[in-house]
Amino acid sequence: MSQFFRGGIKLWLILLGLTSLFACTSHSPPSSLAGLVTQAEPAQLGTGAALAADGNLHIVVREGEHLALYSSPDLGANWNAPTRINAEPEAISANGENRPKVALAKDGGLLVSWTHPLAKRFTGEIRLARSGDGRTFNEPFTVHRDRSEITHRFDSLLVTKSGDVLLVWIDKRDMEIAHAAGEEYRGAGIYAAVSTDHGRSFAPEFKLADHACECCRIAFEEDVDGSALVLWRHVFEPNERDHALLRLDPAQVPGPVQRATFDRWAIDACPHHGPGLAVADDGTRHSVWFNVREGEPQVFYGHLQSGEPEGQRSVGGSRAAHADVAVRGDLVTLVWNEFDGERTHLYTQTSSDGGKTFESVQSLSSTSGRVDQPRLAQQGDKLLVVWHTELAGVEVYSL
Amino acid sequence: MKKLFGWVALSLMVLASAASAEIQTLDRATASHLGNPNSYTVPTVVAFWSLDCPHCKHYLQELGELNRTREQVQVISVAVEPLHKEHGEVLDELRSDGPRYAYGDEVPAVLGYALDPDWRGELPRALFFDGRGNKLTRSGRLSMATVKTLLELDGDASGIE
Repeated sequence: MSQFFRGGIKLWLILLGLTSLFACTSHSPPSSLAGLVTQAEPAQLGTGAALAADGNLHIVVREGEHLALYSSPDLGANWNAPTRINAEPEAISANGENRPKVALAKDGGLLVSWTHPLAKRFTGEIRLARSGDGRTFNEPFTVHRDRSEITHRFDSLLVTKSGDVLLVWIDKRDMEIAHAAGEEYRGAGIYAAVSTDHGRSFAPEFKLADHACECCRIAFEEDVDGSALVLWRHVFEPNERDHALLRLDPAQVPGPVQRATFDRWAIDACPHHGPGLAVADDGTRHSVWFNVREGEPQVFYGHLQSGEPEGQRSVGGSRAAHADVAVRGDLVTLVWNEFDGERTHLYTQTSSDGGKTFESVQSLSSTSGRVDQPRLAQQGDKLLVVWHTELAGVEVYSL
Repeated sequence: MKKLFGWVALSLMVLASAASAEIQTLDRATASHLGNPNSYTVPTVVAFWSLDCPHCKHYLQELGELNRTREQVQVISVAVEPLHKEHGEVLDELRSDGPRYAYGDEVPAVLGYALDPDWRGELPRALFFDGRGNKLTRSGRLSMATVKTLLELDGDASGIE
């Protein structure tokens, strides 16, 4: 029999009160069902989240040198006792841009990937652990064949409808080769590896692209035809940090690198701000990203296509950050963080016409402490936002 | 007048306390002070950096060189992450000898906002003060020619917005 935790009882009671208060208004903001208190360190709140077809919500957080899986059968009202993912302790990245990831394999298995930093600065390995039953995990393994002490970091994980498990990451092997030959190399490479046995093993990795920006999360989604779409911040010549999109077809043949945004932020800097992507049933590529355009830093929303994005518009206020996007038919949902000088707010905004127009912004929560980026977890028409905060734990809102 | 005297006194106190190679942890009040143009009477660069930012290290090295060749220029480094034992080692290696700060225990977003409310987290980022009450902010690794212009060292204000 599984043990249950009631997290954040005080918050729970407050939110119950809020729920009844807002119940009589026509545009009531969704209420969080729980504030799960984890053992994550305040500076390492990076959280992976996935909603399974059976309705279970799974989240992965770093607790010291272990990753912990928490599962909720009722969308965050109650949580099972955590499962330790890596039995042997190891260094684990769990910050905003480089969080652990969790995904459901098509054979019912549970997959968790993460970046394991090595001793030398900026270096790391991409690790994966698999569980057949969601309770015990096999020993984690390093996904790539290249074991040089170099950058393999910022992993993203995708399970396609066909059951393939794909990982992409930032990889500096080509930069190292270029530098050893005394040549310049702009940015870093992007590599991928594919598993056709539900994450038990991976074929040798291969390169997708050169010249990615070095420190931003990668958006990774399935296209309507079963291809994988990879969206990342790129360094276009000479130093424009716009975004690039690449299609990896079902036979794992990478297409060309296509420029996806045209904000022309020319800067020699690390923005620490990666994009988000959601693909509609009609193939529309809804995206959110951060850029400085004509001197103004902003989060943007738009439809990615060949050439400039369609319907590009700014999201939130001047300090909006780390947005995510989901799409259900014509319903587009955005979430983001926004710090006002005192508190960080979690905001959401929806469009019911495929992103042509948006309703007014709703505030879901706010806190004076540290926060993770908001993570959307979707299963069919069910959509949750998971927000890991230092002071209230993991908050979950149904959108 | 009293207020101005207070600022100058506080400036001298804060800068004196950080003048050694010791790294001072930053709190909200000190962060606000570092971002305030009235805190400076000499041309000053406040350079944000982190251990994971290669561009920042090249930049700090070049700013350190500028500091040595133009004595009136002050370069203050702020590690925008909790104090780490490697901060001092890296700054020594880069010969960034000016006052040194690193984030203390307060929420990073609060400290970042107090330093520079327009900053969105990109690194490197620097604040440029001409020492006469003017302030400019720029992200990315700039050339030293641009830095000198921003500090109005050569009497050329063409780089100032």
